[in-house]
Amino acid sequence: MERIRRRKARMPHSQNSLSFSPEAKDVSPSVKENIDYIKEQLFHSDDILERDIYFDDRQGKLIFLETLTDKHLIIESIIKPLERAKVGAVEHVITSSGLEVGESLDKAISWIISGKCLLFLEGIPEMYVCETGLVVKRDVREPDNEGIVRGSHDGFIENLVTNLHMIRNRIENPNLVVRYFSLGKKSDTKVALVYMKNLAKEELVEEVARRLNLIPTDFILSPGFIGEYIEDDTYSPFPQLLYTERPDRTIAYLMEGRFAILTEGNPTSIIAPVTLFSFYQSPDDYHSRWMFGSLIRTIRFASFLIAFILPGLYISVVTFHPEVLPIELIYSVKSSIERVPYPSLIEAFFMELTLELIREAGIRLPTRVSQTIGIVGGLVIGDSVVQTGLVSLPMIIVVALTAISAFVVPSHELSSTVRLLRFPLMIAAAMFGFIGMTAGLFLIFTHLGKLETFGNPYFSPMMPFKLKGFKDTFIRFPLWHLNKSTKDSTPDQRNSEKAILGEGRK
Amino acid sequence: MNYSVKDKITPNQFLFFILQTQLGVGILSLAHQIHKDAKGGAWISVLIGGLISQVMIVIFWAFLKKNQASNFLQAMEKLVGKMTAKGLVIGYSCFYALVTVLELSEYVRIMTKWVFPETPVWVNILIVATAAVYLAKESLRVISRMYVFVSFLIFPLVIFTIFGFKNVHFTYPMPFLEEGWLAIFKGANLSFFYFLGYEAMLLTYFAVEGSDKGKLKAASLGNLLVTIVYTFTTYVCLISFAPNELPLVPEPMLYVLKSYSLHVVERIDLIFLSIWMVSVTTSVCSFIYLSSIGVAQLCKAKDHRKFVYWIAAVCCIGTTFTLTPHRGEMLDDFIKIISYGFVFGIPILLFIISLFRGRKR
Amino acid sequence: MNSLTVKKALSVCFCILSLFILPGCWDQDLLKTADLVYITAFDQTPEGRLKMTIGIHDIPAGQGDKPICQTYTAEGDSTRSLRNALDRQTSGNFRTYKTRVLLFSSKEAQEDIYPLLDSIYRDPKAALDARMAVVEGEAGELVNLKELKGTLIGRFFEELLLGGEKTTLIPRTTVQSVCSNMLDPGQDFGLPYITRKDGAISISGIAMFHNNSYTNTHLSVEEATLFLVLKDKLEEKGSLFREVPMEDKKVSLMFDIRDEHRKFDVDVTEDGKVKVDLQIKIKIAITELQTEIGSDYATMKKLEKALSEDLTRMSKQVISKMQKSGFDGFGIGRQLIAHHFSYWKKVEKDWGDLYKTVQIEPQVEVETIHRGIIN
Repeated sequence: MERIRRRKARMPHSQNSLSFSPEAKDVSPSVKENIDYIKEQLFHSDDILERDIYFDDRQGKLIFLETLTDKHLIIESIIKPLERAKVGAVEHVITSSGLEVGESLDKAISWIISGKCLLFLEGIPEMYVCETGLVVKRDVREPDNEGIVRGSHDGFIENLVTNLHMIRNRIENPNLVVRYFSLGKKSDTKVALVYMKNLAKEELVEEVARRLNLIPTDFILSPGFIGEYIEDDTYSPFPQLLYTERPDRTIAYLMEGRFAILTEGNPTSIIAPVTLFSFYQSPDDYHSRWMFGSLIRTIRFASFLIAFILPGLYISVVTFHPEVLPIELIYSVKSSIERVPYPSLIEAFFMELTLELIREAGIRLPTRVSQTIGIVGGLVIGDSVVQTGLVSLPMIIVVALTAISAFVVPSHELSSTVRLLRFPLMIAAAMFGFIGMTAGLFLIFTHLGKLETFGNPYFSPMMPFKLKGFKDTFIRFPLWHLNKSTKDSTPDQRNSEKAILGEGRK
Repeated sequence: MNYSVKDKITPNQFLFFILQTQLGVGILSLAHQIHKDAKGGAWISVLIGGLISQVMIVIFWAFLKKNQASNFLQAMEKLVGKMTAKGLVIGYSCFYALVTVLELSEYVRIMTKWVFPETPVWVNILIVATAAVYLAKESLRVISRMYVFVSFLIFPLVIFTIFGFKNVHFTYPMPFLEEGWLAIFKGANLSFFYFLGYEAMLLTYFAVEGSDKGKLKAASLGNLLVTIVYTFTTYVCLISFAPNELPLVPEPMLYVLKSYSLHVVERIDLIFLSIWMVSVTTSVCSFIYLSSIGVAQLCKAKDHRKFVYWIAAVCCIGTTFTLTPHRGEMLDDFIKIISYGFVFGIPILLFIISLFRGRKR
Repeated sequence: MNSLTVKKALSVCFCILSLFILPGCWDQDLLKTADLVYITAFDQTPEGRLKMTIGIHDIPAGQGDKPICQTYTAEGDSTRSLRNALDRQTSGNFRTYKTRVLLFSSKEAQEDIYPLLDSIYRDPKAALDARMAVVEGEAGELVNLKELKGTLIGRFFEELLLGGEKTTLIPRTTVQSVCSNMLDPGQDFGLPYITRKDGAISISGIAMFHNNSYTNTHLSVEEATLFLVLKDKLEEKGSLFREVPMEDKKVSLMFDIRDEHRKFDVDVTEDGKVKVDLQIKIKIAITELQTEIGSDYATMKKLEKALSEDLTRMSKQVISKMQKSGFDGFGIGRQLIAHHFSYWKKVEKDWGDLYKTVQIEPQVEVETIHRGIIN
C-alpha cells in the first residue's frame, strides 16, 4: 500500500486516471460504434454482456457487466416492459428505479463499472442509463468483537445503505444529516459522514469535510486508512478515533454531538471527536443498573492502571526498592527470583513477548486449533518456564494479570495502546526505579493533556478538569442525572477555556 | 508574544498554576530550616510567611489591575517607559532562570542523598528537566490543565502525613515562644522564600479570563492552600521529632514517613519522594516557562517554544556548577538577596509609581 | 511539512535509541542478591570491644521451601566497621533494610547506645521500625540458637515483642522513637527486658534507661504493666494479678484493664519544688476471682475501693523504683520544658539528681465493668 502511495506522489498527472480517453466522445447514432467503443475502453473484458432489443422499430442493444448487475432486475424492469410495449417513449416504458439519458460516451464507462445497464437504440444519439445494480449483502448480526450481554444485537454490515438505514431507523429526526464523499482517486469509495445538525458544532463538521476532501490516497482499503489521514496526531500512541460496528453505540455518540464516518464495503464506523474515556464505555453499562454499571467502570479503570503500571512497578521493586515489600512477602519473592539468571527487565520482555505470540497465534487460527495453542501456552510454557528457571513465578503472575487487564478494555485500539505503553514504562522502571516511573507517567499524562482531537481536549474531563464530566466517565450516574449534564459548548465560544469547561453558559 | 483566546486560562486553573509553582522542593526541608531559628514556633513562622505572601499578592494584584494590558511587558511600558520595561522583563527572566537552577540543584542534592547515591548528577537533572521541558513548551492552557490534574497528588501527600501521627508528642514544640517573637519573625523571613512562586502572577495575570476580583481570589486561595499544607507538615515534623533531633534531620518530612510502615507497603518515603518529584517538576516547568515567556515577549516572538529549550539547557548546565555544598549555599544566599528585590522591592516600587500616575490623570 | 514529520520521527527514534544506549541502573539494589538481616545482637567482649551477631533469614529455593537462619559473628570497634566485616563473611550483599529486632546484652546496654544506632539513622535504606530489647547476659547466644521450637529466632523475637506490646507488657518502642527520646533531655525510655531461664525465653519486664544507657535495674512484669498504664500507654488490654486485703480476708483476683483516663499535672511550687499529680481512672474486667466474695453492689464497691488503694500503693512502689534509678519514664522533664520553661532553664543541669527528689503523687481509681459470664 505504501508503495502505491509513493508512486502516486511521483506522478501528479495521473489524477485524472478515471477519464479514459483524453478527448470527449459523444454517443453516435450507430449502435455498433457505441458498443465497440465501450468494449474497447473496457479492454474486452469477458464479463461484458450485450443483448439485442427490438423497440419502436429500431434495432437496439443492451450492454452491462454481468458481475455487477442484477439480471433478474434487467429482465423485469427493462426487457419485459420494452417487449410488451413495442412502441412509445423509452423513458415511459422502462420501470427501472433510476433512469437517465446520457450523451457522453466517457460517462458511459463510469456508469457501466458502477453496475448500471446501458441501452442504445439505432439512429438515436442518446443512451439510456438504468439502475440495475446488484446488491450482495450478508445478514445483519451482532459483531463478534463487540458482544454485549443485553441490548440490541445487530451490527453494521458491508453495505453502506443498510448501515445508514439502521441509523436513520433509530433516529427519526430531520436533523440527522448524511453527506456523501467519494474518496480514493482510483477506487472511488463511497463514504458517508453522518451527524446531527443541531448538536454537532458547525466548525467541527466543516473541519471533517475539509480533512476528508484532502485525503490524497488512491484507494481506501479500510476505515483505518481514513482514520490515519484525518486524525490530529499520528505520532501519538493513543487512538483518537473510535471504531465501532454497533449501530446503537454509533447513535449514542451522534446524539452527543459527535459525527460518524461510514464506508461502503466495511462494517466499521469511525466516531470522533472522542475522549480517552469513551474507549472505556460499553453499551452494557447503560443496560445494567447504575450502581453495577459504575462498579464495572471502576474496575475497568483499575484494569487500565494495572495493565499500564504493574510490570514497571514490579521491576522497580525487585531491582531498586525491595524494602518496599512487607516482610512476609519479601522472602517468598526473593526465593523465587533467585533462580532466574536474567535481570527482571529481560524476564518481563521475554514473558510479554511469549504472551503476544500466543495471542497472535490464537487470533489467526481456527477455533479448534487455537484450543491447542491455549494448552501449549498456558500449561506447557507457563509451568515449564518457571521450572526451568527462565522466568520467576511473581513475574508470571504480573504478566498474566497485565494481560487479562489489557483485554478488559472494550476497545481493541486502546487495548493495544496500553500493551504498547507499558514497555517504555518498564524500561524507565528498570533504569531509575520509582523515580523513573514517575517521570515516565508524567510524560505520558502531559502528552494526554496536550492531545486534542478536532479541537476537543482528549483527556477531558480530567484535563481540563471538569467535575460535571465525571458523571458519565469514572462512574455512571443514573440516567435522569445525566440528561441534565451539559453538552458541548455553543460554537461561538469554542476557543475559550471557560466554554470548554461548560462554565460560560448561563 | 500576546495571549490569544486559545492561550487563556480560567481563574481556577490560575489558582492551581500558582499553587503548583509555589509547591516545590521546599516542603521536605522546610521544618528543619525554620526550626533553626524559630524552634518550637516554626509553624507560626510558616503561617506568618504565608501571610506576608498574601500581602504581596494583594500588592501585585493592585498594580496589575491598574495597568491593564495584553501582557506584562506592555503593562510595564505604559508605566515606566520602553527601556526600563525591557530591562525589567530581562531581569525577571534571569531571576526565574536562577530560581530554576536553585530548584534543580536542591532536587539533585536530595535525590543523591535519598535514592540515587551512585547515579551521575546529570542523569538526575535530565530526568526532571526532560519532563519539565516537555510540558513547558506547551501553551499556558495545557500547562495549567496538567497542574490541575497533578494537584490531586496533594491528597496522598497530606494523607501520608496524617499517618505519621502514630508516634508523636504534642509537647515537643512547646513552649512555642522559646526564643521569643524576634526568632519567630526571623523564621518567617526565611519561610517567605519557601512561598516564592506567586510572583508568577506578574507574567501570567493577563492570560487569565475573568474579573480582576476573581483572579485575586484564585491567587489568594492558591496561596492559602500552600500555607495550610506547609504549616501542617511543619507542625507534624515538630511534634514527631525532639527539639534536639530536628537539627540533625535535614529532610524531616521524609524521615517521619520512613519510620513507620503500612501493612501493604513499607517505606512510604519512597512513594512520597515520587510524588514530591512531580511537584518539583511542575515548579521547574513553571519557572522555565515564565523565563521563556519573558524572553518571547521581548523578542516579540509568536511562540515561546524555542526559548524553552535554550533556557532549560542553560539552566541544566548551570546546575551542574552549583552542586558543591559551598556553591549551593552561595547561590541560595544570592537568590535570597535578589528575590527581596524582585519580589519585594520592584513590585512595591511599581505599585507606588502606578499610584502616583493614577493620581495625576 | 514533510521535513517536519521526518524530524519528528527521527527525534522519536533518537529517544527510543537513547533509552537503550543509556547505561542506567547505577543504583540498582537487586533483591535476589540481597542477604536480609532479620535480627542483630550487640554484645561486649571481656576486653570491652563490640561484638555483633546477625541472623540472616532465607528461603532457599528447591528444598521444600523451608526457611532457614544463618548466623554470623564479628568483633570490632564500630557498628559500621562490623557491618563491613560481616559483609565479607556472607555470600550475597549484606542488607539491613528488613531488620526487625535489635538485641543488646545488658552489659553493652550499660554504655551509651546512641553510637551503636548512629549508622542506622544515617542510612537512607535502614529499617527504622525495628524493635529493640535488652537481654540478660549474652545476646549473641540467643541469636545463635537459630531456631526455637520450629520458629526462626528472628521471627520468634519479633512475635514475642509485638505480642508483649499488645498486652501492655512492654512499651511500643522502635529505633526511631528511641532516637527522639535519647535526644530529648526531658524524658527517658525503657526497653523490653528479656531473660532466659531453663531454655525458656520470656519477657521479664522493662529495662530502665537513663541518659541513653541501661541503669541495670528493671521493672518486673506486673510493675511494667502498671507503669505503662500510669504512662497512659494502655494498648488493647493489660492484665494484672493482685492479692487485695479486704476486711478480714485476702481476695486474689486477675483482671484486664480495658480503658483508662489519666490526669497528669506537673507543677512547680512557690518554693521551687516540682510536684506531680498523677491520677488515673481505670475500667477493669475481672477474669479470675479465686476467693468467693459475693456479687452484690456493696461488696463490689468495697472490692473496687480496696483494689484502688492497693494499686495506688503499688504505683508508689513503682515510682520510687523509677526515681531510685533516675529513670524519668513519664517525661516529667518534658512537661517542665513545655509548661515551665524558665524553671527548666534553671534546673536543666542537675535535672538527673533533682528528678530523684520530685514529689510524685499517684492516685488510682478502679471501676469494674464486667466480671465474666458467671457472677
